[in-house]
Amino acid sequence: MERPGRTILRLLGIAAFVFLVIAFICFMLIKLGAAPPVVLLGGPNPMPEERAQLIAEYGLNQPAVVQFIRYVVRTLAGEFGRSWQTGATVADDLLARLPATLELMVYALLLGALIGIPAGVAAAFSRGRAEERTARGAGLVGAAMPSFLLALLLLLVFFRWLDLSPAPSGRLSVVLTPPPTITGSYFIDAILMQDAAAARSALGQLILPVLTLALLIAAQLTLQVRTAILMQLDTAHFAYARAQGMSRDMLTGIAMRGAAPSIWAAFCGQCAALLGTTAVIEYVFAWGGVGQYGLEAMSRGDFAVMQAFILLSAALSLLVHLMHAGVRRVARLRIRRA
Amino acid sequence: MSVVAELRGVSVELGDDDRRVAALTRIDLQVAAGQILGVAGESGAGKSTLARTLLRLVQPQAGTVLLEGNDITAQPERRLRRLRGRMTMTFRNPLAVLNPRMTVRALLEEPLRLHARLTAPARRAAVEALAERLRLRAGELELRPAELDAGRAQLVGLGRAIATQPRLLVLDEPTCELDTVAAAEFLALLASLRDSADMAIVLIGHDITALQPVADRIAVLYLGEIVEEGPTADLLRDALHPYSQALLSAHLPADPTRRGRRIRLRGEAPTPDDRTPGCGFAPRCPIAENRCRSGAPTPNQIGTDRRVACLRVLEGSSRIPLTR
Ligand code: SF4
Repeated sequence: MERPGRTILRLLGIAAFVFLVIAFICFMLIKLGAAPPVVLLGGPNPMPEERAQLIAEYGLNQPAVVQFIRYVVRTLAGEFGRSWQTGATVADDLLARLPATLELMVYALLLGALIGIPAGVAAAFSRGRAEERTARGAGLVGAAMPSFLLALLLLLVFFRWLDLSPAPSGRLSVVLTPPPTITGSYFIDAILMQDAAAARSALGQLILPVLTLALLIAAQLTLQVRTAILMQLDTAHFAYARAQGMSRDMLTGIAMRGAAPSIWAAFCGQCAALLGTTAVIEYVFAWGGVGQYGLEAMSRGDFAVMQAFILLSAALSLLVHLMHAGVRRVARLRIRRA
Repeated sequence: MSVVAELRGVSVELGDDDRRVAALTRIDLQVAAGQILGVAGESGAGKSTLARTLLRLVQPQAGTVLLEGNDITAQPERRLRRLRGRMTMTFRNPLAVLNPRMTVRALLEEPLRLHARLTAPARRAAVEALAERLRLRAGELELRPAELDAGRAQLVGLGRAIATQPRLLVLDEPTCELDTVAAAEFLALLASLRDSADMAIVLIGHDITALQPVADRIAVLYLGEIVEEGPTADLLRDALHPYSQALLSAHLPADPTRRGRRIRLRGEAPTPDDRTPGCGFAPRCPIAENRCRSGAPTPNQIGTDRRVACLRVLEGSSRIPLTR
């Protein structure tokens, strides 16, 4: 019998281990990097005083073991160093950009699930008919589509040809001032401030990037949910319910209940994989979020930022794992009590 | 006798677009009111598919499924739903399909809720009457599936299936999880139902022994085909298809009136994947000839109401010699 919280504890243990491994890899990236650490951390042409400061800060003249321990301790304290591109600390940069990314991800996940789950269920229930083949084909195309390509296609159609959406130039029209930060979502904040123009502009800017991400999520969810439901349709339990003459809604409920753990796992899988895709989409739409920040750092060799971004991605997937395990735990307890 | 359920030339393929297997091939079958038709065969022979096809839980690729003379082969699910009170089914493992959260009373009431327009008191009375017919013990109505053993649970499954007074009742290996005593009790109850309820019953079983006490007729299924079908007494006395003979010899070893020895089949029980042209039984048939591997036998009418699908049956040489 599993003791309560055991899974969570085990996951936290794994988390600590994963953190150390990733920290080690990041550390080695700098040690074995193509350029001297001072350049990786301080940019192509650090001033002499910057150079001295970096050496002191990171202990670059100390033995490697000491360097690593210092690095781990600093990272745990949330000190990721400075970006030589922006000149600010990475922590501040990340915090400033996080709301933009979260806004994109949350809307995309909601919309993606709203499209993908019903489509998957419908596909499974119309097994062997044209509807299923359509949904499955669309899912396969979407799942195989590179994210930037879909983004560009949507831009081509809705911005260039139909002129329905604004230019991909960030979160708000440049002529407007952003609303004060309440939730971090420009759209919601503008509504809270009753700033109709800002709200409209924020929404317009959101639509295409959110749609791109949502379609990518929906495509994969459709396929995964379809498989999960199909497995339910083949159980004796389901055949029995059908033989009973239950209504379509009751049958859908039965299949959904049976497939719930798999669907939940599929959804969590989408959450975990989302940051990478979001980074690309942010880049295309000049969104100015964490993802774009990370991608740009990678292309320019801003190592302090890269490290923080890698750790952030790891932290995010860990968080998703905890969320997955936690919800399953609660659901299982509920079933046992019922 | 009125035919209640009928299959005409029914073929069923299962699986996805990528991989289809023939589960049933050109099945002809009839079952009349007041009759129990037993269906025997190894696992993989297509018994469960046959059960589900009779109830149109499975859509056949060819042939016609009839219920009380009405073609239900192409009926949409919505229409079929209304018929589901008239054709019902029990499953192999009732504990796996009964809702664990419901009491026996609620379980017996559910089909009535779905299919009968009854007032609440009438429904309650119907459940009480049903419990009596099933000979449920006092207090058993308030139990939940987890508190029942396999025999009692199968009884509840049967109760659910007959609650709506169906015309066709299909039982998929109802006694396979039951001990001998429970199985005998169950079959006795079934026999009394046949005599009182005027429904057509299809009883599916792994071996002929489980069917023989109650079945009026027996059909033997091999690799999705009916190889022999006829009155139970005839089949037991003188099975004509080599496969039926092997089944019988394997399952009636202690019968002193039967001379001879057990016929041992070579090879494993087949799956629809290893179908060969010619007679499906040829790879394991002790008396197979060369022609059996090229030409597939069609059912031959023997006497007035038997049929046997074996190339050698018309020459009277389909009996496996007792000494080899
Ligand atoms: S047709 Fe041939 S192989 Fe098939 S059962 Fe008859 S004798 Fe055996």
